[in-house]
Amino acid sequence: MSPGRQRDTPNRAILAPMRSLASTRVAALLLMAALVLSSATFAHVVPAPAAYVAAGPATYVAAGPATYLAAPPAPAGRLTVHSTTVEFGPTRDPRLFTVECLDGEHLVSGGYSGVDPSARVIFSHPSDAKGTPTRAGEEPRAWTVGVVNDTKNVLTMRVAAACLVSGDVRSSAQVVTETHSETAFSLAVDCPNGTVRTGGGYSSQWARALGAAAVTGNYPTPDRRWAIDVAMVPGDPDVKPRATVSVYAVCLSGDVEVIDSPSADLNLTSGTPLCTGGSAIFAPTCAIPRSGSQSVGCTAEKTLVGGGYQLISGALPGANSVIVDAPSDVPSWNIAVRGSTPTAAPISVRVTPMCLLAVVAAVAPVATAGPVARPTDPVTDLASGQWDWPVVTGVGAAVLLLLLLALLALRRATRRRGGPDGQPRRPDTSRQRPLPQAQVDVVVRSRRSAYRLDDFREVQ
Amino acid sequence: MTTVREILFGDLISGPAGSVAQRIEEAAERLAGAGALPARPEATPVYIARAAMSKVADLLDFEISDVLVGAWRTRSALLKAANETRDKPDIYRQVTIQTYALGWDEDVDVDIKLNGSTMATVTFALSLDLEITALAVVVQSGHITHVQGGDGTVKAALSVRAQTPPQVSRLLASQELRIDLKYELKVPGKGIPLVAEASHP
Repeated sequence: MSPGRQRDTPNRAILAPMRSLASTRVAALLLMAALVLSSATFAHVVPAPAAYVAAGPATYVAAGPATYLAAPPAPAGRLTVHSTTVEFGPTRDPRLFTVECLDGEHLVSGGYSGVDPSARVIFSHPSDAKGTPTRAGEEPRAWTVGVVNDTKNVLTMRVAAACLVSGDVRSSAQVVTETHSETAFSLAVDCPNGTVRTGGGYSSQWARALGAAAVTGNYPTPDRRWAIDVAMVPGDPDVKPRATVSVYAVCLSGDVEVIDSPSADLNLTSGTPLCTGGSAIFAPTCAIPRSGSQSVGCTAEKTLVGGGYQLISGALPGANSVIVDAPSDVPSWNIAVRGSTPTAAPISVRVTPMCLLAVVAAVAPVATAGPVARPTDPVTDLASGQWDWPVVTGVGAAVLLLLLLALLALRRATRRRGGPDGQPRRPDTSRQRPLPQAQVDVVVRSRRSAYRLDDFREVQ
Repeated sequence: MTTVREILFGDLISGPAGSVAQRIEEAAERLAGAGALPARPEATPVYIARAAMSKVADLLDFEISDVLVGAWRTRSALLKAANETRDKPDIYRQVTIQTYALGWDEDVDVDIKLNGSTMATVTFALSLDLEITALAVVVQSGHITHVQGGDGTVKAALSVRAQTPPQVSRLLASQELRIDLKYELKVPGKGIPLVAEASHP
């Protein structure tokens, strides 16, 4: 050891705790800065366009010459949920189940619940009473769900149709159909001007060899469209996957408006990992059960008419892991997810209700003469509001950078406080419990072998 | 002494590292994609298929020469020579066969159980087609005592069938390999018996 280094040793011993303390303080300061900056960002919601301002829970004020008021708030009708629980045995092709609205009711949405994750929900769409998908512009009368049961068990499922009891509205469907071969893609459909979307669904052409289109999101978009996110599940490995998928929107016309639908985020919880013990060929692998459910509703003066879900972080725990996407009698829109993932990475799903409000035309005190006009430009009706994305992105990057610096500083401080000899502290593995195992056994029941005597050929 | 597993998935010892596991993994993915294995929240089809393919790979660990000798014992000029020399230790036959072809099938029914509960029953079907050319062996006292020459090809195919609905059938792996009988048939000191109760030469 050199004399210089010897001299340095006492100083290092004295300075190390101070440096460690300093690092902790730096980390804390950086963390506080990041928090302040992020809260400022989240408070910065850009106001909706001036021509269409939500001034209260249920009041629209047009800043232009025409005035568009909804006062006092009035429910747009009464929602009735018709549902039936169905049984279905093993099937290679989709089984369709349809639930109808009654006469005088208008279909606004629908869905399914209580389905086993082993079953694949292939369709969930507006239809006629026989289950035929509603064509663009036609009035849907029912909701149809198609399911494939690859198990050898009889499974059950609840199919629901949400129907609006109101004499002043008319529902119609809009459809967009596209063929894709990408591993993941999205489709969206517009409602015509003068109508509002109340719900949506999907269907795909079923061909097992071509693969299946698994819907991973079925949701309203802020620009007043209905969209689905699709992941391709390959079929025959020798066939390039391809799927023809349709997205449906149920559009309601009349003096109604969908407004201020507050979404809620569903963060899936992780269960105890289940692991196989591995074999001579394969390494041990683990599956972490993931699950969660979320219900969303509307305030008293609004009528819940539909809902949807969108994956906002991570990946769904399985192609058919959304086991509930349906209205309930409460009324609320319910989403439940169950499946498994190889890691415990966060998974977050945004659940959005569609809340309907009756709109009554009125004359504003300062209004000039002219017809009452409904805004026709795409305007968001989701509660998340509109964001100034350049600002958000910039501030977000700064927050991220500060958080990263805070983490680095914390890590340095932790290392310095490590073992007695200044070495990083080793993780204590003594308390780690062995992971439980999902036991997969392959039991040979019988073996039969025989020569094909007809194929014997001998030439001497 | 090539095994059926080596024909289908490669040589574990002399092959490239990981190549056998890779081929079995590919077969497992085909098995999972066949739709014969239902998904469970705690075990995806690929996860179950790996366990099944591990078991099947073990079952395929038998030598191709066993199938060939079994065929000779069933119907061949060698069997005729064996019967002729069976009780006559002082004579032997030198047998030459230009072409010898045979087919052999094996079905294995397996229950796939998850945590003790049977979730699927599938049949793995192995199909072998052998064609041997220029075979020259010595038969004495009902035994093959010397292999002078012979080579040929083996085609192996492994497929799966679901016994329970949905009925599916899918090819999982297939391969063709050339074999040399001098390598495949290791003749022990007493020879390879072709007929039952044959006295040793």
